[in-house]
Amino acid sequence: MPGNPLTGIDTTVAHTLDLGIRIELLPMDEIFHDISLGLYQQERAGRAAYLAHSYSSIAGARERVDFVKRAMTTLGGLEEIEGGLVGFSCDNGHPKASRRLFLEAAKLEEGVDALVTHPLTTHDRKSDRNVELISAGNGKYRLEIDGEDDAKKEKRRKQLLKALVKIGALEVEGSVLALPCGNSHDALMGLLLRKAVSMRASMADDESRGFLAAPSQQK
Amino acid sequence: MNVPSMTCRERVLAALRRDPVDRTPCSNPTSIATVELMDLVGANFPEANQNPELMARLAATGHTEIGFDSVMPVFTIIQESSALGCKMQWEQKDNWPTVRMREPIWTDPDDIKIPDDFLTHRDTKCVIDAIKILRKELGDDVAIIGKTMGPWSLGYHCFGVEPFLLLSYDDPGKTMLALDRMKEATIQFGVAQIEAGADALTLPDHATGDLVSAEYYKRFLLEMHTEFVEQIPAPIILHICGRTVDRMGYIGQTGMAAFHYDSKNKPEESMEAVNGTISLVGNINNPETLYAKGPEDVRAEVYRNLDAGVQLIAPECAIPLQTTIENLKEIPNAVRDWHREHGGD
Repeated sequence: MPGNPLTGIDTTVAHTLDLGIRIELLPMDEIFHDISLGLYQQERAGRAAYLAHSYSSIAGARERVDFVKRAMTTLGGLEEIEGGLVGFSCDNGHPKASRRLFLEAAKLEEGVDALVTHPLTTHDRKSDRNVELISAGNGKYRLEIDGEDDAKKEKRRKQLLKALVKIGALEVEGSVLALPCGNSHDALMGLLLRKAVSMRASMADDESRGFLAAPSQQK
Repeated sequence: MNVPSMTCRERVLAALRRDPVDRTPCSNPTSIATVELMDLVGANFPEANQNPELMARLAATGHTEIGFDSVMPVFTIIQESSALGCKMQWEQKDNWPTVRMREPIWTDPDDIKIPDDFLTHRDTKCVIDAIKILRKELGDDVAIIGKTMGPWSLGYHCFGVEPFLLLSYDDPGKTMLALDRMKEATIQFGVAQIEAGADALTLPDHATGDLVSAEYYKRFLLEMHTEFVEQIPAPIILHICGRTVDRMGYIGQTGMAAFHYDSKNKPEESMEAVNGTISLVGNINNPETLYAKGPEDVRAEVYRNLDAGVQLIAPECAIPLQTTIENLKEIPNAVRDWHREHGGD
């Protein structure tokens, strides 16, 4: 800690950094000492790039950030680029989907959770059916749900499409989904599909805290 | 007018007096702490509201990192309520501590007692000691703003919101008696902070537009707020959330130095309402702009306030703990640019 040994106040030097546009902040990383973890978007040679960062300087914080970055590359199919940043091979940012990817990566713990890419199929507990995204070429994916065709299946299809659009900013036409870049993103789509079938948990991730209300507005 | 270069502290104090300044100060009457700043200096909530070294360290970032002209260590609105005996929910790093107002400690004005250890209780002493540390560390260059809660807010905390409002409808006399007794806590805590080195005090008194009318403000609080100006020997910044333009005329009569106003009030109409009787400080929107939008939107709100002649620029209230540092830094950056474009700096 710089500055006064008692208070740590350093009146001469600023330590905050120009990290780019913050896409998401996890205010308390429950896996590592409640540090905050941020995902920042930058531009590198015309390419969208992401930086995972924490302002915490406690021992192990840097390793935790590195692990989250590695988890993002596996879960979302990102590649490492210069300066410790990561990005999609299509060069686009896909910030909304990347935000979800970051939150999922930060739920994993090094040495405990395996880093695996999620397949384009998963079991939907709500409908008790298997759902699948089938590549339709040119970065498009068709949502399929197995089992008997009935009203429940159609209703669930609509719910899942809506959920995928919401959490990934996907474009939709009928049952066909795509990211705006028009490229294939199998790993990212597999992750988004898993989140879409558990939308309640995804909504919990989005819950905002830390707003101070006047006493008359407090619950 | 060409004003010689000022220190941050001189700038803030001059603006509170409505004297000429070399540029408009960025001065936060309420918290600008964020979870990222907590990590940067290793001072997390809730401990940074209970330990003076951590409180001072986190408060200092408002000047050293964000570039504001003042620091404000009293992040919460519960320090003195805790010392009065209210039941607390201290929460974690990512949320604000609150008073459990559903478990009130008083039901009648006769219950009101300011404890003998009011100023030595951990949560009030923490503020007083943090101000001493900040004054020692920052010297006389930076303005230090303390905070003491007004009796209406203490009434909500100690009686509960609904019981206190019902008391005000059913028995105005008892309500005035309660306010009169609770104001002692406001004065004691405020004076102690001034003696510790604070340059000015924020005095939040939540007679908010949604629950309390302008006439109510006049009836219950105008005279008491005027009395605070006489009793507390430092500039006072009144803070009331929400739509308050209907009572700004009364607030201007109190003699307080400034009114910290909410983005629900337009800068132009607010300047017109106070008509030069009091400085305005604010009113950058928290939930929609500082929290959810980008620097260009922050800049637009700063410019609108400066164009209207608002004397001090700040967020409208304590900022959300997840606010981006980028947006916060944009406030002083925009102020400097506005002055450059208007022939100053």
